[in-house]
Amino acid sequence: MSDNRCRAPRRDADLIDYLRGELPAEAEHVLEEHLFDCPACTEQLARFERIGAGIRDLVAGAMAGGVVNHQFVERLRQSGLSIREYRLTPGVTVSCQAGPEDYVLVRMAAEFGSLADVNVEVEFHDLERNAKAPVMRRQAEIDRAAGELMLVFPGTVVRSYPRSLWTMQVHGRMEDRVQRFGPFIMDHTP
Amino acid sequence: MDRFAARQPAEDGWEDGALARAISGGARAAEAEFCRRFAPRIRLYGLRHLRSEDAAQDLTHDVLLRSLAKLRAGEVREPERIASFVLGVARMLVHERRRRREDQLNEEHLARFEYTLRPPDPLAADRLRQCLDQLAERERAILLLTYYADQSTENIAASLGLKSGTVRVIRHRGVIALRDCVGAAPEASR
Repeated sequence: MSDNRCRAPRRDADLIDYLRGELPAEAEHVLEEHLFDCPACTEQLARFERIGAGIRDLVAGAMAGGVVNHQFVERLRQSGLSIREYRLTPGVTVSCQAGPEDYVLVRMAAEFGSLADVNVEVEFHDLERNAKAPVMRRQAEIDRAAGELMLVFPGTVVRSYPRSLWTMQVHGRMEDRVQRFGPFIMDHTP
Repeated sequence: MDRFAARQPAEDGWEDGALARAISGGARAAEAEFCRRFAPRIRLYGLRHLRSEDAAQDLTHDVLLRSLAKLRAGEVREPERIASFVLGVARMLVHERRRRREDQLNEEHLARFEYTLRPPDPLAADRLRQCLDQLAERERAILLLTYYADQSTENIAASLGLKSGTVRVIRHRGVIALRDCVGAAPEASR
């Protein structure tokens, strides 16, 4: 046991799947035999476990956001985090005002259908300075069950924005044709 | 005595067989080394199968107790395969836990030893958050849904309109990228 290196290190993908319980039973059994005998692979496994725990802590601490689905939002609510929610539909401007909530949830609803390769273009207009930022383009995902594109933002991030107008367009491919949806507009007041 | 305080034994570097024989011979230092060596492995096994930090720590305590009892009595038939023996005890106790509601714990024998069983130090939140923000949106979404919302690969795939295999590959890529970004890996990715 003086040499901590493993002569046959296990694949990272297998270690990640093991922690999720997603290895086939036989492969899991073999991996566990190895892990109990190998401090190096155990340490790799522990690193991946810390990553997962770290992500949970970030979300629970209202420090992480992005594209989510309705089950994620439900989990946030169950954990006692406060969420301010805005539902946007094409062509309608929604007023939003920053508050003390942990997260802001933006739900963009349209007839997205089977839209693939989804991207969101975001135009940010600082109304205090009357200045527009370059359009940002972000990859996104549609929650197929909800039929919405759902984004969560940490409340601390939202509270840092000035008086501003956010105009968003969603586009992607459907049946080999580019489809666009929007504009989805938020009128933000700090 | 604080069972969670860390203290390195004066002697280490035992091969597993020598460790088992030393325990049978009554060497206190060997028993402490046994606890230090196997506690992290049992904890990770417990996290995989019991899905709870508290349950994993309880399991670790129980497995160490029972394993030491057998080792002291010289009842481990293959001392060189002590790792397999410990894994077997862990499997048995997980099985028992799934069938029983309460366990009676005898803490008397373990109270003399100290071993570290607190969860590993959490990753620096700010660093992890920065690394998470650098991921592609799809990778970040899958990691949030996996590790915070605890959704299965199949659920995530259905929610985002992806194949399960694709979700798995993206998750691997995202977790490995985070590991490398936060600087937790001592060697190149495998």
